[in-house]
Amino acid sequence: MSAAEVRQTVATAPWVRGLIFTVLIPGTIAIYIPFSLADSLTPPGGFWNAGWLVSGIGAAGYFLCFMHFLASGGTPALTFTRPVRFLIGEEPHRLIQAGLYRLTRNPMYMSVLLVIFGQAIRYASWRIAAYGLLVWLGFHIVVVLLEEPHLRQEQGAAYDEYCRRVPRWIVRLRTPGSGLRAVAVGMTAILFGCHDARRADTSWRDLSPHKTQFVEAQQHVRLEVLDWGGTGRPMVLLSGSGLSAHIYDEFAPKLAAFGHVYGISRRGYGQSSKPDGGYENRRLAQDIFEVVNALKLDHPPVLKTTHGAPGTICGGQEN
Amino acid sequence: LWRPGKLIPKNESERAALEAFVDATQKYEDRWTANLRESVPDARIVDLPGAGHFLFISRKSEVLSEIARFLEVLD
Repeated sequence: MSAAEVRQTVATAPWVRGLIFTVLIPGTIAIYIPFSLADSLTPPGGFWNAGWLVSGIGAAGYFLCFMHFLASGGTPALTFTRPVRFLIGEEPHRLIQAGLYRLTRNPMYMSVLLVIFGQAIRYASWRIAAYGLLVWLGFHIVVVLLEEPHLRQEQGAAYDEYCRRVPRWIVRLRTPGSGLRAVAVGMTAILFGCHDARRADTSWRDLSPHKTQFVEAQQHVRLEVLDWGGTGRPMVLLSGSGLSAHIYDEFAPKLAAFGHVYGISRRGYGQSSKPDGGYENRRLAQDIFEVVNALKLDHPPVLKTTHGAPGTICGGQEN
Repeated sequence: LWRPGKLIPKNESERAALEAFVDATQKYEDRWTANLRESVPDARIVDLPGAGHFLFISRKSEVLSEIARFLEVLD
């Protein structure tokens, strides 16, 4: 497709412009930034997986709003993205009041927030939750200062009547203010729950996706071998002095894209045996060779860290 | 490792000790690098300044791409 054809497609297909907007704006705000904030976190699992559901509801809500916008002859847009409407489109000219817009005046913003808060729950991250609140504040400012005056000017009395009927943010429950109270309670629970979950999560848990096996490297000495899977060339990760193979818990699953990854905990560490002797370099190297031979690994590349295996090198020169 | 600005020495004596440590470490690194180059002339040595001790954690993506590059050489 030539550049001219691409330009033509963008100009004539609203869904393409809507998709570009979705990737650039909600994609950055609701996915890229929370994902970056969660970079070093491991999802705690269990109850916190409910975050998937919350984000899923948010994504579905966004999709429904997106379809309403397309059906009304526009695309999702922000007031200040109007100068680039040739690329990402602009809002429809008639007021949308159907679907989720019967419940709240800003269901698309709410959907984006749900995607963010879902990730806060999934990662039990108060940082993502706080970021979500900040984004909400930003949305509020944009809506109150820019969008509502603009819509009032465009739609006149019809918009005023719509505002009287439908709340700005929170779905109206049976009694006035109850929806807002429910959200306030929910947000507080998320923030404190995330904070407590992270504070309580001081003990190490084995969450890396691997199988564990034990290989006898010497009589009465069994070494812990972690197997992160993968296909093709076998690779062996050696842990250093004072460490077990779990030091590679985050790295190994990514390395498994290039081959079958094993990690060996040297004697004395992790779940490997802790005999009184056999800690000299030559014996440590022999341990590695015993494991490699027992697993029938054919000349695997070895990655070591820190005082990982001077013995391997020493022993390798002899073997 | 200590780098200027990373750890502020409390006095001149501490500064001298830190600098001596850095100098000695640098000499060790230089010797190690020279040894590797001598024994494996076509070895590719990648320097990741500031990566710290556990570079496969601090610089995951760079380490992965270098391993991938190394594995291609083996194929």
